[in-house]
Amino acid sequence: MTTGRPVLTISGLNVDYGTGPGAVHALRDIDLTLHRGEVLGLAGESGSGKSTLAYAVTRLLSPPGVITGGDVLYQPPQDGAAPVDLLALTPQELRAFRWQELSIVFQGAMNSLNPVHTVHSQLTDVLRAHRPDMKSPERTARAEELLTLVGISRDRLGAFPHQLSGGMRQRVMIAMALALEPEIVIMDEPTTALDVVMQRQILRKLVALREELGFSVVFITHDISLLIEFSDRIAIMYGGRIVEEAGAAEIYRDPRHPYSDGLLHSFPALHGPRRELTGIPGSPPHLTAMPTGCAFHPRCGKAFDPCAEHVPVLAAPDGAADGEDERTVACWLHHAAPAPSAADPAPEPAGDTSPARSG
Amino acid sequence: MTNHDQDPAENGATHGADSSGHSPILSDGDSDIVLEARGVTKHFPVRRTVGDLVGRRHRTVHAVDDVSLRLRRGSVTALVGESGSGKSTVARLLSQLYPLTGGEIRLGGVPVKAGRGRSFRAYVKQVQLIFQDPFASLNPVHTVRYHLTRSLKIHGKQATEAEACELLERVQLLPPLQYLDKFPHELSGGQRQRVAIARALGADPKVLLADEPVSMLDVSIRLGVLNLLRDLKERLHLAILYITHDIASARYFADTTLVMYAGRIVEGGDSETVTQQPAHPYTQLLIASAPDPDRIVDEEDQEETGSGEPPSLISPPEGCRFHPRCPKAMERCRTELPPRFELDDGQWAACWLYEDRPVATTIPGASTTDAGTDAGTDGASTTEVAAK
Repeated sequence: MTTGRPVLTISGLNVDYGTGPGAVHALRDIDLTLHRGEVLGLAGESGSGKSTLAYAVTRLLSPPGVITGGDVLYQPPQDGAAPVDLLALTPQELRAFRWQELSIVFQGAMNSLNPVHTVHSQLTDVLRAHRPDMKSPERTARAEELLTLVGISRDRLGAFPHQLSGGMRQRVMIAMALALEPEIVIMDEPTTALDVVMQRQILRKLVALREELGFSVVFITHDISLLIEFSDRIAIMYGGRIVEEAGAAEIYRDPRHPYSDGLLHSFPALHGPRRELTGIPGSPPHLTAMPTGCAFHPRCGKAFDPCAEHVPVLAAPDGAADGEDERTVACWLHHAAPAPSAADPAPEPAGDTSPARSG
Repeated sequence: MTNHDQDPAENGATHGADSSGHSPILSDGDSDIVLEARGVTKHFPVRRTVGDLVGRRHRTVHAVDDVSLRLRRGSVTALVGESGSGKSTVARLLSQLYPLTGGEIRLGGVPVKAGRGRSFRAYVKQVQLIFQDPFASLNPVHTVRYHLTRSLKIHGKQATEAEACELLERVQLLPPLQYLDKFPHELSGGQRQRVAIARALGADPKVLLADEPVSMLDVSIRLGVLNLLRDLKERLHLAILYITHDIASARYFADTTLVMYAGRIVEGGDSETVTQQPAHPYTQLLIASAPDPDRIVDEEDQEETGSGEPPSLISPPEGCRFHPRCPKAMERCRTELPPRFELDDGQWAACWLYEDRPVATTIPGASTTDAGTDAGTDGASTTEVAAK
């Protein structure tokens, strides 16, 4: 699945909450590439910055969130089309871009439907705004088609959100996100509020639709066992940085970062031997009091000297075989430790002279 | 359901015994059972519409129907179900926050029906509830010290700093003095839940009812809290009811597991047996739906285990409540409610697939046939209390 061309390239993205000396660095030096037709999983605990990343990429970040640096490039599917710099779009361009090329399904999407409008008017609203020359019957037909796509019978089109169950509302949101056949769908914890049975139904539906329509998915969740099952590649975030990125099976079989390993061992298994699990000692750092060096070192059982001083860079592990060039990890266990006098390999974004671009 | 109505006098006697500060312990082999629910039923009235008034209809939500379970000393019982299955209502019924519609709750073998005031306080001294959301269950304007000493004071303990520190040590918040004067907002989610557990332990309870205690916590610290609860179970011989939607954590943490669907318990037994050889089609669906990284390979050739959504509890389906979603539903399932059929190793399932197996009679409330024996033991235990 990773054979597709890059469709979204994020490089060196930095996001702060607030400005000046009191600013909190929510995202630091995020490099991430989404390929066409791929499901990219983004895992992390609360406060790791995974939702901030989704908001920054879609330019939905509201103040005090500020993008202080980096690039987000979207590559349109047409051959020879120039990449679009998402962070430089004007409000008008942005309005045309959203839904058309990139859509997002929010956390708790069940509650993002307007309670006083029918499903019909909310689904056709997207079409009315983006396809003004579409006739009303055509819009209705498309809305019916979308509902059928996500497994809801078309006679529910006239229903109000409160007449639908949570799972159906969630599927309406997914239908709406697919209305204009976007290239990228970002899903921010789309099934966290749902039961496991409904969660599996929706995700199966999504994977089937992805194969049918060929869009790419960024799937954000804290449930790494779910990601391993449903995504092609996984990026694990901790303390505002990506600490490891690799194929789903590779993460599962052979996690390189101690945090990935701890996260995988935080979920009791349904099958196999029953073993004692410990989770990860301590609790996730607060963004206002981020540890120096590797943010994970106070909780890490394998921490050694350089961890507390130097921020590890996200790069292919040392001695990686040729077949492993796809995976990266940010941990001194897998990189040559810096000389004691070496400068911090990842300079702080503070003092960035470029004007801050707000989301 | 009738034996609950006939014993107001007995309840009076029970309150007398309870509020005097000691609980009667039965001398027979079942003395390990601390808290027991027998055929517990809870229906919530639905707000009546004009149509209901004209048609003289009284609609109710059948939130919990005929639930029987036993919590034993030093053991964890998991109650697993989807949202809306009634599992939290069971916790609230067991903690006497709601009055029962039918059935009875027995504490130490004695039927109890706590009202408000003194009898309620005597009950909660023994049965403590831990809530899902540690961000909402602690008062933001009070310190940890206040929360703990208040719990100690209410339940008649010495509310000294040493006592509060001991509680914090029990929940592994070390060193305790560092946490005593913190406000809830200064603590992380896991630490807050530990304070909530410490506060519950302040009453020195026999039973902890934990309603989704870790579902609001970060994944990396959930296991720490579960391991703490298990440690407390072993050291203090607590009976713990662990309510969860995550059947994998029930396998990890609980000794016995009960599976609830649409207000009824459909399967029960040893956790390992229930998760490895699920008998009821609903349990099978639940396990097939749980995220499982090992499944990557055989995702394609998986058999369809059913789909759909839980039914409305205002007019639940006739017969087995799972039959509209069940891939193995038979004609009988649509009309007749399946009793509990005994399987091997203490496992049982309420499903007609197992009708060749004997009907479970050891669990009271499962069928009406053992009402006679119930009444007999009722009489015996109550007289014993009255004599005290």
